[in-house]
Amino acid sequence: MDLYLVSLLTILAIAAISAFLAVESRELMHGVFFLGVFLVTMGAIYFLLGAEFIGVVQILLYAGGVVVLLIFALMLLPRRGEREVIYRGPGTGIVMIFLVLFFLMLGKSSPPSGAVRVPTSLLAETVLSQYLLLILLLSLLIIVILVAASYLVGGER
Amino acid sequence: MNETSIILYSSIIMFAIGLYGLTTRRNAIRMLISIEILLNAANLNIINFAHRTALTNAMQAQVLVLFSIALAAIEAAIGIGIFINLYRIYGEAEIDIAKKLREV
Repeated sequence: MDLYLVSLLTILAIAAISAFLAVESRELMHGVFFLGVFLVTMGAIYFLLGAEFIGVVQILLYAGGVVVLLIFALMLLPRRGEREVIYRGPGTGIVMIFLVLFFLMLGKSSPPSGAVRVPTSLLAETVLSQYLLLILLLSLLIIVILVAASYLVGGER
Repeated sequence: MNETSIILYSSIIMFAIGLYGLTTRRNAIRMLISIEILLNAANLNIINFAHRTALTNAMQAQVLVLFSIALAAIEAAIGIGIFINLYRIYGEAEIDIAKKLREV
């Protein structure tokens, strides 16, 4: 077993465990922190899979942006007694159906193997030439959504 | 079992965890966390298969994941905006007490 495989397995195990704790932890704030751990480990997996830029964006935007947004929302909101409703039976059933369907669908096909490493300069060139219009549309969408979110939160005054 | 299938199976496990959280919990913030886990499992699969193809395909897949990450971030922003309003109106953010979105 080489070092690459060992680190990949370790990071995947940490990711799966922290995802489970994020869903199942008793305290909501602990769940958000475990979500942060999960997102950072996903960024590490992207680094291992040769997508360095995506890994950086993941850590900056997800672990730095979304988690901080969730933590601020939890800290600003008034804390009531935790009355968390849990429906274990239907959820477990749906997950079992999903897993059975997936393994039936997967069958005996063997995934390809190889290793492509996209250079960040090439990725930047593609994004800023071939996908320039889409990037502009996306940034326009982000601005519209941010204005809408701020209107939703502070719409009373 | 090569690395591709290892990552494929673990992303299935993460997707199942996210699905379990989304279907069992009714707290709004917890459901948002589960949605993020689902999106990340899907993104991991895209990057995983992009690692095994030709360079141009891998580049297109990475651009797709870039868009997906940006859309997930703005989805979290608008979701939290709605949930803060839920807290204001009902005092808690359990989804099943929110029968209507206007003021009560």
